Amino acid sequence: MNSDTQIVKGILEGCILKIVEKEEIYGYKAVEKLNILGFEVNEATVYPILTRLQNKEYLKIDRRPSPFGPMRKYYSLTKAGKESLQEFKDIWDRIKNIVNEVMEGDENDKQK
Amino acid sequence: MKMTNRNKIVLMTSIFLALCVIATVILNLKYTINNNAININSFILMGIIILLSIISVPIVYFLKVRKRKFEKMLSNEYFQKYEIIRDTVMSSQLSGAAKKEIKEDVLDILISAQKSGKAAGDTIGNPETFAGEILITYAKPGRLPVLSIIDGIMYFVFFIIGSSMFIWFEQIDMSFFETRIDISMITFFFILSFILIPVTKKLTSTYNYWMFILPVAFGIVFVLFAEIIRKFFYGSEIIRQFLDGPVRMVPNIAILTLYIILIPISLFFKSYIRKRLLRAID
Repeated sequence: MNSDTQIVKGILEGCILKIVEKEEIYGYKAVEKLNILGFEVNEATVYPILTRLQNKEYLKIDRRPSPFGPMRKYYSLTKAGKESLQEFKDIWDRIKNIVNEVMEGDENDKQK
Repeated sequence: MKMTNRNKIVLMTSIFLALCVIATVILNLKYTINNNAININSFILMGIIILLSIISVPIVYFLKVRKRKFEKMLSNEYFQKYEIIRDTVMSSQLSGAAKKEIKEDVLDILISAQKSGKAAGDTIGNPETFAGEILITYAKPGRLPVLSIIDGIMYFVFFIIGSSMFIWFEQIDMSFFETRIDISMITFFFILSFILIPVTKKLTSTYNYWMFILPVAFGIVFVLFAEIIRKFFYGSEIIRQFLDGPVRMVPNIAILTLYIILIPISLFFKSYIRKRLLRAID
């Protein structure tokens, strides 16, 4: 999936919020999780999103030393983050329904 | 671990700059002796300049070239990408705390990716784009460079007071407020503060590591330009004024106080504007 487009970045933001809601996570782990889900993203895409969410105060951080040495930032969801996630879910449901309707309509037209 | 080409250029440039300054001091010393204008203060001053030039090379090595504790964990392939990101972030207008935080984050991400066996290119892609994406999350593009103007004011004040002090130290019998700086020198400080330093900082984010030579090259070109117009156009009043027309930049205690107060005021405004810009992101 091309992660450069704004729409994908927006979707990634929502998905990252959902992942962080489930468990406290650090940058590299977030990349791994998104790749397992099928996003095909790298650190260069995910880290700026995490920073943006942190700057918007949707994520709070806790710094602890990593097993390799340098300090590692662990992200967890704030109250504002939870609200933003809910907002994303609502928008996503609406868009999903609209897109499905359009696609199904297209299929029906073809069958006719 | 081998030094990267980028770091070699940084170190070579600092050595070249130090040699240029030392050569200029020696030539000036010779000229002063020939004119019987030498005094003990001139000797001390030139000694200090030579000492500072020599010390500047290890300072550059320790601050810009030497790898820090965890940076040593990165392979050369990863380190080359990391140092572009680091230099771009460090030369940006973000706060010191934000820069430190980003550096630690990027280092942790890169070490984790390297440990997992990923290639540096797959992890970061273009390091300049990556660094740019990070900076955008703090403020919209084009906004933070506004702060360069405030930096320029501080550099300019620093150069004016610093050079006035050097000139005064050479002729300590006269009042500090009688010291004069040539218009050409003031022009040089202006260009250096408001154009050359911001441009060099901006260029450190590019792959082209020859940009570190830019300040030295500009200095040489400026001196050459001054000497050429001195040789061919010195008859013109404007050129004479430009080259040797002295200006009292610190004429009294009130102006000196104003210069000194300008530094904390600039720092306060910089911090205030930075916070406003951060709040302005959506």
